[in-house]
Amino acid sequence: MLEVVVGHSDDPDSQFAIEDVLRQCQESLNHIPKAGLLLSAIDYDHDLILKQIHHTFPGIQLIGGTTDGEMSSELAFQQDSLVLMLFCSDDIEFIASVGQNVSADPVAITYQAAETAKSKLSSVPKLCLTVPESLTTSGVLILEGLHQSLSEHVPILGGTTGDQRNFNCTAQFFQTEVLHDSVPLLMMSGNLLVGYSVSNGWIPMGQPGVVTKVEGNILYEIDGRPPIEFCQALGMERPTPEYRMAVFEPGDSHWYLRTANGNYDAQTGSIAFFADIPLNAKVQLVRATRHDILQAIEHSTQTALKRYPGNQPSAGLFFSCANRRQVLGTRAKEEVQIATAVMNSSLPSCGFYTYGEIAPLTPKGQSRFHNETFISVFLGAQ
Amino acid sequence: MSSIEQSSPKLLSKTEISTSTANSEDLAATDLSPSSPPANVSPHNVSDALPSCHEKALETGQLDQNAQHIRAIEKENRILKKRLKRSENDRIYLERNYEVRESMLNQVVQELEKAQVAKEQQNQELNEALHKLRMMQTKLVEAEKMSALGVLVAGVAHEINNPISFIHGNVDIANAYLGDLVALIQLYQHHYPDAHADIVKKQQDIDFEFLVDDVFDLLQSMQVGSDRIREIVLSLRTFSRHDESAFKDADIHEGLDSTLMILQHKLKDSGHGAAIHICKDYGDLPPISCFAGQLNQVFMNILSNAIDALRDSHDWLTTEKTLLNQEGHPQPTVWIETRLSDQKNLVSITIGNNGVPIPETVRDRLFEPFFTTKGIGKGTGLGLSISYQIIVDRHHGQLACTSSSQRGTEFVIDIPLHVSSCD
Repeated sequence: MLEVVVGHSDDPDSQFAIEDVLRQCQESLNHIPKAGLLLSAIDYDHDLILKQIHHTFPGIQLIGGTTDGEMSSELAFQQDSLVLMLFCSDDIEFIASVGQNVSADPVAITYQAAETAKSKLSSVPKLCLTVPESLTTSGVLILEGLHQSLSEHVPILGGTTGDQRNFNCTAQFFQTEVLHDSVPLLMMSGNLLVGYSVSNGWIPMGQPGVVTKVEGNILYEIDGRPPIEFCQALGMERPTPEYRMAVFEPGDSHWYLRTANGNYDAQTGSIAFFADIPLNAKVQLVRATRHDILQAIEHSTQTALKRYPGNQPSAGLFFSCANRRQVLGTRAKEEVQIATAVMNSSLPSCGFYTYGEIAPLTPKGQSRFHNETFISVFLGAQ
Repeated sequence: MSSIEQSSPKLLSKTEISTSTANSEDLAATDLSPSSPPANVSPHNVSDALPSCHEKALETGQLDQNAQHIRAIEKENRILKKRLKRSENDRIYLERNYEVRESMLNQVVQELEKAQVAKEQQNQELNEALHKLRMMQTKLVEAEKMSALGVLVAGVAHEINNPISFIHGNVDIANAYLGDLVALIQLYQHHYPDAHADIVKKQQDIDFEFLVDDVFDLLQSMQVGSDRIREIVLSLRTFSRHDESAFKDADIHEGLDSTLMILQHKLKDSGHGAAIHICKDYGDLPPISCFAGQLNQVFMNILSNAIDALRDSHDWLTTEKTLLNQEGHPQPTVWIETRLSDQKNLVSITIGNNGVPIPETVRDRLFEPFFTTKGIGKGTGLGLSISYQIIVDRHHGQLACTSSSQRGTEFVIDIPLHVSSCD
C-alpha cells in the first residue's frame, strides 16, 4: 500500500503557507505519513516551516530543497509557493540521510550518505530520491558517489536545488535542518513500484564532433578545434545560454543535453556549461521550438506510465529545468497541465524546476545528469 | 470556492478593516489571526459592551465569516504583492536580456558588415584576377598568333627565297647575255654600216640607241629589286628564327638589324611625325649562345616602346647621343650600342631613346606583368615582363632601365657570353 497526499500553498507568508499545506495534507490523509518531500521558494522561513512539519508529524523522514518554481496536482504551476508531498505505507521503508559540505569531496561524501541510508534499510533499495546542492559542486560527481554505493538497477531520480535564477544560494532540507552545500537522500525499499522517463524535445542537428579536450564543465576542444569555431561553423556567432549540445557518451546511442551557462573565453574559444561533459563524447548542436519542448512532456509522461509496472500509480513526481521555464516563458504553466492531462487527474503529484535533473536515460540504465530535461516519475505499490 | 473567495476582494489595510467593521466604539482593531482569539473581546465582554445588533452578529458567526473574509483578502494581497515583485524582477531580467541580445545583435551586424566588405574586396580581387587572366589569355592567343605568323613568315620567306634566288642569279647572266648580244649587233653595224631599209626602219621604230642604253639600266634596277627582296626575306627569316629554335650561337647584330628592318616603316616620316634616326654603335662581338628568336623578341619590344615614346611627344631631349637638325634642335633618336665586357664574359646591349623620361614610380613597375602606361587597347603590359623573363630566366642575364633628362631612357641587356641551355 502506498498513500500519497500533496499540499500546496501560494501564500507568501511562511506561517500561513505551512498551515495551509498541513491542513490540505491532513484533510486527505488516512494514515500517519512516514516520509515527505518539501519543495519551497527561496523567500520562505524554512526553519519555521520544517519545525511545523516535524511538530505535526514527528519522526517523519523529510528531505527537500528550494526551487526555481513549483508544480502540483493542487495548484498546478506556481512560483513563490510551498509544496509538501507525504508518503504513507506499511510495506515500504523510507530512510532519509544527508551528506554535508559535499563540495569538499562530492564523490566520497555522497557515497557515505548513501551507505548510511542503505544500512538502515532492511531490504535492498528500490529507489533513491535526491535534491542536492547545485551551485557549489558538480552534480555529475554527486551522481558518481551515488553510483558507487547503489546498484546500477536502483534508479536515482531527482533534481538539484534552485534559487529563482539568482545563482546565489540554494537550500536543502533534511529533517528539521536547513542546509547548504549538502546532498539529502530519501531511499525507499520494499513493495515499491517505479516507472520513469526522460524527454527534452530538442533535436540534434549538424555534423557531430568529438570532445578532445575538456575539464569538468569547461569545454576546450571539439575535434581539436575551439568549440566557438564549432558553433560558428554552424552559423552561431556567440555561445549563449541558448547554446546547447546533445552529448553521446562513447558507445551509447542515447544522449543527454548540456546547456552553456553564457561564460566563454574568446581567446581560447572555450565554453562553460551547466554540467560536466565527458572526454571523447560525441556532441551535436540541437534545435527546438517551444512546441517541440512541450511535446516532450506528453512523451515523457506517457512513457513513464507505460513503464510503470503496476496497474495504477499512487503518485507522480516531475522534475523540470529552470532553463525550460525560461525558454517556455508564459507557456511554462503548460508543462504540468500536459502532464496531468496524460495521467489520472486525481493522482496526487508534485514537482519543481531544478538547476539540473537526475534520471536514467533508459529503463534499468544508470542515472545521468541532465540539463533542460523533463523527468516524469510514477510511484506505487503492488 | 466559497462565496467569500468568489467576491472581488477589496485590498484594505487592517485599520480600514477594523474601522469599517467596528460599529461600536468598544470594538477596536484586534489581532484577527485564527490562532489567537480577539485580545480584549470575550463572549461575556461582548455581551456586556456591544449593542444588540453586534451581539446578534456574533451569535450567527458573522464575525468569524468576516474574519475569514479578511484573512482571504490579506492572503490575496500578499500573493498579489509577491506576484508584482516577481513581475518587476522578470521585467528587469527581460530588459537586461534585451540589452545583451541587442549588443550581440549589433556585434553580429558589425561582423556581417565587415564580412561583406571583405567579400566585396575579395570579389574585386577576383574580378581583377579574372581580368588579368583574360588579358593573359588574349596575350597568349596573340603570342600564339605571332608564333603562327612566325611560322607563316618563315614559310613565305622560304617560298619567296627560291624564286628570288634564281631571279637574282639569272639577272647577272641575262645582263651578260644582253651585253654579248649588243656587242654582236654593234659589230654588225661596224662591218655592215649600210643596213637594209627594213633594218633601219626597225631600228628607228624601237629606238635602238635608247633601248641599248636603257636595257642595262633596267637589268640594274631588277638586280637592285631582287637584292632588296633577298634582304627582306633574310630579315624575316632572321627575325622569326623559326628554323633556329635551339639554344645555339647566334650573331646578335644580325638579330638587331633584322628587327630594325621590320620596324623600318615606323621609323619613316609618314605624316605621323619626324623621321626617327637610328644610331648604331656595334662593338666587336663574337657569336653568343642564346635563344636567338626570343632575343629578337626582346629587341622588338624595346625598340617598339622606344619608337612609341618618341611618337607620343615632340619634347625630345638633347643628350650626347641625340642627333640635332641644322637649327640645332634635337631630333627623335634611337641609339643601339653593343659591347663585350673587359672580362670578355658578358655582352652588353644598350637600346636608348631621347623621348620624355620615365618617372621613377613608373620605372619601378616597368617589368610588372600587365603594367602599362598606354591607353586601353593599346598595350597589354606584358611585353617588358616577358622580355625580363627571357633575359633573366632563360639567359641568366640582367635587364635594367635608366631614365633621366640628361641621358634619356636606356634599356641595358647584359647576357653571359657562354651559358649552358637555360631550359
